[in-house]
Order: sequence, then structure tokens, then C-alpha cells
Amino acid sequence: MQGYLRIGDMIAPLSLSKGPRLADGRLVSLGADGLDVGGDRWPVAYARDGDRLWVHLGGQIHELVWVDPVAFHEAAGAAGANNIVAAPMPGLVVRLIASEGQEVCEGDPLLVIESMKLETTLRAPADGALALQVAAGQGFDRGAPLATITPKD
Amino acid sequence: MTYPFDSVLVANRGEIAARILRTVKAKGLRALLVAHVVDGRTPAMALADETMMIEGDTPVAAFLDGDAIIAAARAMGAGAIHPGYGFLSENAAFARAVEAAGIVWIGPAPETIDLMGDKISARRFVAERGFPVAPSVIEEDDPGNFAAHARAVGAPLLIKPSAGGGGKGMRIVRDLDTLEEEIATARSEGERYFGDGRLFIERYVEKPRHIEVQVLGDGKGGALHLFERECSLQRRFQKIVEEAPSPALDEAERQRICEAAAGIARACDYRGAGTVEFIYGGGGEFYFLEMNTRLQVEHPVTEMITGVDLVEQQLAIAAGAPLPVGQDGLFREGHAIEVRIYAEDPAAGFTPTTGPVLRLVPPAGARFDAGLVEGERVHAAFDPMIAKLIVHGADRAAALAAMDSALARLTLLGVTTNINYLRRLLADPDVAAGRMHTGLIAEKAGLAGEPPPSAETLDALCALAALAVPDVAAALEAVPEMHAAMGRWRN
Repeated sequence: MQGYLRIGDMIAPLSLSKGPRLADGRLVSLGADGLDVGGDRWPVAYARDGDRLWVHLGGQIHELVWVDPVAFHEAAGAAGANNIVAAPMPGLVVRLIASEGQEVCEGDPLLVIESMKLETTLRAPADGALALQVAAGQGFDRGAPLATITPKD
Repeated sequence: MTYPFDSVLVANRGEIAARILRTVKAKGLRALLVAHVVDGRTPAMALADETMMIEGDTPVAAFLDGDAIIAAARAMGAGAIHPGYGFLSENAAFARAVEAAGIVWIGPAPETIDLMGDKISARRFVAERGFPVAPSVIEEDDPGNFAAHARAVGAPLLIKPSAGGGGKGMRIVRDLDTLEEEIATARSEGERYFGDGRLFIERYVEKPRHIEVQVLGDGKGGALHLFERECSLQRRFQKIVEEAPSPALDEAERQRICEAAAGIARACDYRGAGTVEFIYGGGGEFYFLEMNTRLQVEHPVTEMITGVDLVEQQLAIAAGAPLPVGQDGLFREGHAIEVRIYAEDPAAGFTPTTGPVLRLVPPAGARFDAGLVEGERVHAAFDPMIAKLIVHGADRAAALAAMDSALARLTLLGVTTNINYLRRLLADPDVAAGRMHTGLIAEKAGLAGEPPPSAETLDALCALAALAVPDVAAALEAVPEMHAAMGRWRN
């Protein structure tokens, strides 16, 4: 099985088999006293949240995202990736400017969100038909899809 | 110590509610709390003898509803109300309503809040009594010639909303040609944030340091200072690291600035704990900035160097007790540093983050004042500050080392925080040497990005992901060939 791990801006392919060993042959194991990498012991705390693995290791906190191989290749090949308006930060929808199904042009204002008392206008990333995933007054977390643009064929 | 009240209601939430309740309980008083359902289980609720839930159009509105809070206080039989910081803590009308309800207000007299809470009346009061304020122009004094008077003060200038706070609506003007435009922008921001477009303009101190002094007043003209704190490390005009003493001051300067603060507290018959904030320039000049008529977020660093429990003193003063010692009975020892743990992403411009708190293990050997517990969620309803970490050392270098160690050992998983960033910031050579100013964090924007982990760390993380995630482990079991090729990382 092959998958990918994302840490910040980095993507690492992760191929696995029994053993388990690192590519350079070092044996790895995980026990109550931490992680062992080829005889080096790392105290570690971790917690999983869906496709995310949070790790406290080496005095730093890391957020790893498991990227399914199918999803990885789909995202890489998809031209539509930038047609989703995702929430830049958690907040609240103050008002909708454009309406459901409306034909919008790149740069058109779509909706206004508020986070920490700052209002931000989100604009259309492309030309196309607008589908709204939120209503006025609704709250959302960072990264939540707020609107989708379907380009004309 | 006997108190004329047997219980204290904390009209606040988060870490400060828990911190206040700890002292309330230690003094043998009944600990009462109001809370909003969105916070779930909290450390404050675990400490409180009784908690009443409050509601509002938004969670913040619930904590701003003075009538509802006083009604809750009556229902629980509260003898006194402690407002914490933020929310209603500097609201004179609320303080009056509390007193009118026959409940003891743990804070300064409402008239003092009126006087010192308004930036313009406060700076006028302070200047008239001979304390230093920056050269400034107040719009209301002569609205028609506001810009002309400001030009006469000379660049650089700082435009501030009169009703402001938290740095919102402040504009720095270096080119006087843009003055009118900047005044218009500041006014519209002031109207938007505070419902008040009044402005004032003062001389901007380049590379300013933020130095503030803790005071305690008896409400009858007697006041003490508990030395200074430096809070120059700020992002978006909000403090994230505070320390005491300030590395900028020599003993003579410390004496002058602390005595000025105590003098201001005496002049306004200050009652309880308060903080006088100053801007300190590179040439040793300092100007009154504002007075905060409440307990500050960063009060623990003062507690660490003086051994004084400031909440205990607030309770005693509210009970009518005299100040416990004279100025020469107060000493400081060593150096204390506090960092604020925020649910935010420094690499994304310090934008707030949300998420579940999957693991929370505070480091041994440090004070950790937290507003949430493992298993709860950080949500967007309130300020993103979730905890404070405070350490003490024999000197500044020892305190910095202790903080680095404490941050490295603090486990907080499930939500992006500024913990890694704080370690990088405190390790910066200028910060380590005490060469700080309020623009340092913005200047060193490169520190905000998370540097890629070392090859060694990447190997460990890859191995952990493979071993710790059940799906991956299951897939591993299903694969017959023993070749684990954890490939090369790329951007």
C-alpha cells in the first residue's frame, strides 16, 4: 500500500510493508516508552483525528495529514481544485452578496465573513455558476468549503 | 482575614476564571461561576462550588449581559463579583449596577473606571498632575484644526480612536501628506469597532517598548507599585510574551517609572489592582499610555517575582483592608516570563484556529493557567488565547532557558497553536539579548513560518505514522513483502 503524508508544505510518499523498516533498513518500533528508530529512542505523544495525526516529538508539535493515494492523484490532476472557496479562518457568514445558481465572474464578491471582529469579502476564484454551501449567520471552521464555482463547459 | 462577603462570583470564563476561583477557594470563600454552554467542561467549572449557565445572542453577548449576570449573582446569593479581564471588567455602568444591587464590586470605584477608562480623559488627568504624556492633539479640543495641530506636532504620528483598545483602528503616519486620508480611515475603523469616531493623535515613538507597572491602591489615596513588566513582544498590538523585570531599565529608571505609576494611582484614589502602561523610547524617555483598571492577563509574572497573590490582595482591598505593607516592604527576586498560548496559525498571519483538544499535558515545573481541558474543543466563539505558561528563574537567561524547556515539554495536540513559534521567537538573538520593541514580531516575519523538520525528524515522523495509524498498520500486515520504502520528501 502506498500513501502520502503531508507536513506543512511537504509531501512524502510512504510505502509500507512488514518489518517494518525505513528505506535505509533501520528497524522501527513503537512502545510505551516511545518510538524506536534504529536503536534511537524518541519520547513521543500522538493523537489521531480522522486523516490527521498530531505528534509531539523532539520538543515540537507536528501535524501530519494522511493523503490517500487516490485523492492525491485526483487533486494533482484536477483543474477544478481552485474552484472551491474555502474558509481562510474560522468565523461566521455575515451576509451573502451573490445568490445560489448565479453566473459569476472571477473576482466578483460572493459573501462576507467575519472572524475576530474583522470582516473579509470572499471573491469568485473563476467564472461559472455559483453553489453556496453556507447561509448567512452560519459559523464554520477553517478550511470549510463555503462556495463552489462550476465553470461552463 | 475576615471578609464582609462569604462568596465570590466570577463573571468571566477561560483561564482567568479558574485562576481567580483558586484564590477564592483558598481563602475559604464560596466559589461561584457563570458559564456558557459552548465552553463545555472547563477548569473553572471543576473548581466552582456552583455554576449557573448564561445565554445570549452570541456566547460573547452572554458575558456582556450585566443584568443577567447580576440576576445570576442574586440567585446564587453572591456576596461579591470579580469581573476578571475583558468583558465587563472596565464597564463603569456594570460596576455601579453591582454596587446598587448590594453586591461588593471587586475593582476600582465606578468613577475611577469612568476617568481612567476613557483614553482622552485619562491622559488629560495624568498630564495635569505633571506626569509625562507624549506630545499630542485631541480632536475635541479644536475639531476644525485637528489636522493642522497634528502637523505642528510633526511626524511620525500615531492616530488612535478615543474609545479604542487592542490596537484596533490605530494608524502610523510617517508622511504628513497622507494625514487627512489616514484620519478618515482611522475614524471609520473607530466607528466600526467601537461605535465612536472620536480620535486623538500623538507623537509616535519609533521602536517603542511597552513597559507597565502593577499598582495596588486602597481607594483612599494610598498606593503601592509592584514593579514593572515588559510586554514589547506583540503581534497586531496584542501581547504574547511578558516578563518582569524589564531588561531595558536600570535601577534609577525603574525607580522613576514605578514611582510615576504609583503617583498616578494615588492621584486618582485608585482602589484595588491596576496597571499603568507606558511607552518607553530608546533614549530612556517614557510616556503614559493608559491605565487598565482591572487585573491584567500578565499579572502572574508580577506574582512570581514578588510572591504576592494579586487576587488575594484584590479580595482584601474589596473587604476594606488596608494595604498589607509599605513600599519598602515589597521586594522582587529573580526573573519571570509568561507566554500566551493561542489557538492560531503563525504561518498564516496568526489567524485563529479551531479544533478538538485531543491531548493536553502541561509541563512539570512551570505554572500553567489553562482555560480548557483535554476532550473539549477550541471554538471561534471567544478570544483564541487558551492558556498561559509562566516560569521563574534566578535571572533572565535562566528564565528563558526554563521557558524553552517548558514549551518543548508542553503537549497540546489537535489544534494548531503558537507553541512552536514561541520557542523560535524566544531563541531569536535580539529577544535573547533583550533588544525588543513592539514592532519586532512584524519585522521578523520570517520566524512565523514553520521550518521543515530535519531529515532525522522526518524519518521518525514517517515511522510513527506507519506504526500508529491502524489503517496503515492493517495495510502493513496485508503486504507480504518486507520492503518498507519510506520515500524521499519533497515540497
